[in-house]
Amino acid sequence: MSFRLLAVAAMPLALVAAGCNQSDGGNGAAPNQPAEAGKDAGDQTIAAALDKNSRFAQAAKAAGLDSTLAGSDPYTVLVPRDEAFAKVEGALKDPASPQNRAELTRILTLHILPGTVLIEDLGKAVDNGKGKALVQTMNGQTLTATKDGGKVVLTDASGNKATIIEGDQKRSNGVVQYVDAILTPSAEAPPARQQ
Amino acid sequence: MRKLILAAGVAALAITAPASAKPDKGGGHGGHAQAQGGGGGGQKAERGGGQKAERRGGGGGQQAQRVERRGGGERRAAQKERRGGGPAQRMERRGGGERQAQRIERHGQERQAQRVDRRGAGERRFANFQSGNGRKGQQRVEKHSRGDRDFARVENRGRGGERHEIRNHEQRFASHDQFRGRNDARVRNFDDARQFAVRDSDEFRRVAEWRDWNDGDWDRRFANRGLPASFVGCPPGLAKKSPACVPPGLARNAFVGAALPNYYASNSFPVGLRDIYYDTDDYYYRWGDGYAYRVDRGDQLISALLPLVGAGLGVGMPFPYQGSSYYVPSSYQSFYPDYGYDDDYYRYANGYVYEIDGNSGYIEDVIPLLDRGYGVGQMLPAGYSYYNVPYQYRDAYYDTDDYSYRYAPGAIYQVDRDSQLITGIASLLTGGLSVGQPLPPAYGVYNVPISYRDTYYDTPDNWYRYSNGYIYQVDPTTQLITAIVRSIV
Repeated sequence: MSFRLLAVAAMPLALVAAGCNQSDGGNGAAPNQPAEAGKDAGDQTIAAALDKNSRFAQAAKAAGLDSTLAGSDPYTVLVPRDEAFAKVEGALKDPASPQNRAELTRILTLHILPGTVLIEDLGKAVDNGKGKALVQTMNGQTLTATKDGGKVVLTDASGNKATIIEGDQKRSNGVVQYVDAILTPSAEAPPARQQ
Repeated sequence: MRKLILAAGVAALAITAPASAKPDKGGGHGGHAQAQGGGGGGQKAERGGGQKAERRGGGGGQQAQRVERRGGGERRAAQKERRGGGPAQRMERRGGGERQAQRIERHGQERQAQRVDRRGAGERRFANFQSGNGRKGQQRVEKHSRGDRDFARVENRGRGGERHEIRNHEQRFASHDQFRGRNDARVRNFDDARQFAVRDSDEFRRVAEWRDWNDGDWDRRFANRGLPASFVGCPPGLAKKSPACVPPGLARNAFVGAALPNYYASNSFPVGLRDIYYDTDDYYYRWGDGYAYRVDRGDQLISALLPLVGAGLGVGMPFPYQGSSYYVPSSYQSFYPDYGYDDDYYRYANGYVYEIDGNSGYIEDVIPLLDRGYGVGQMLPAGYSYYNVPYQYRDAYYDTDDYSYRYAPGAIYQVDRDSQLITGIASLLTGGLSVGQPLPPAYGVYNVPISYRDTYYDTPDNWYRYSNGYIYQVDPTTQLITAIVRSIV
């Protein structure tokens, strides 16, 4: 009898102890994902999984976006391959310069999409949109997705095209898609409304 | 003894119950979606949702705890306790499942430009910056608490009225600025031809009203630490207290080639920014009055000056693009709606949104957007002195002794509390979605995080899209957002 009572009393206490071991998850803590998500996405964040020596990762660090991509919010990152940086000018050429930081942020956020967007999702949207689909970026501007030979091509407002050459690398806070070119935000936002 | 053991068990269950209640994580299609009038997502969704709910709730997993944590109670007090207290305290403190529902309800009523007004002891409301809804002609008095300090601000957005809050930038890069790397930096930043204007003699007095002059701590934190004049209450171009009110052109003349003022000598950059402004054998950096100063170790003279605030036209200047169209990027239009030319109106140019006085054509406010304005190493205006992080992110980003978290269009920023410099971009935000509005065309792509895809997947009856911490339900036929079905941040 007393054993049963002890067991009844101990069970909720154990639950309390288990709950107390959890971190509160605030201010840049590791993302909280359901257990089944961990199997799919692994335990690495996008920031942790990026090659630290890659040009994109270095630029993201210079812009302070490395901590953003290490947080819990879900993003899709279009990572240009290092070869794409060969011909860059301006902020991407010298990302460490403080003067370039705002422009750098502007360029990099064009390569970050809200939420998790897989290649299949883009493909479906293109099909549903009769050949093209608009894609929201964290820059505020949009990209246009199309298909070319089975691959998804993203086009910026200036007409620059980037093809997803490898991707769907699932991370704990989103997904990474590798592209073959750098997209460029338009110098001025297109006139949204005319009076 | 038996009574004692039973009492302990009951007490422990009482503590545990809220943790396993998990009000918003178990729903899926059968949870909030249905509660808010949305349809289900089919059998699979219901099964998946139900299983998830049971599993997470019973296990007391992390998700469950996060939701439980958002339960009732005064947020600020909770944060204080959280900083000081241990996990056990948190478990006891939090509880209740009403918060999520309240948040969803609120979110359905307001738009993206959420600012939390704190009125008295913990009472909050969302101010609505949308057009309509009494946006024009409203006067708002806000009193913001941070810790044991109060920040008072009066903001008058009435027709023909003046804005008492001044938060703008008096610095800008000229197009020919040069900054040739850290070891050979040379900065020529300012256009001395700029003219400042003060619109009437009462402006200084009104600005002074905004500031809480009796707050000694405010003085210590801002004025004495050298924030730009326009941020701490000086009318643009007028010096209340030199050198805190030196206009940019004069700043260059006054500082480059001069000795670093003693009051900036101890203003080292926050640790998080020292990889940007790092000292070398030849130079070191200090900050103050809205600038970064590069000081030559050889002669101890300032050799370069770099503005810490985004470039742009300043308050009190005539807007040079009179007659221009609206041009505000679509993702920001809900923040800065198009009023035409009626009284105050918004225009966009060069990465900034300008609020312009319709009568005089002078700039009343300058709002840099993320893509051109704020960034790591920059400075947020003092107008962001209060905690304003959107509700869904408050458990993720709360102020600490070292850092503040501030929301400005486009992002949540981590800000060094001492210097007010941005040390990180905590989260990027889009313009956001809200219930009742049409789904923006750029959200045609399914983007629900992987963890939630087995619950929220597109069907002929419902689509699901993620934005700014929420998963939204969309009617595919009307393309209208019908519900917020989950908060996942």
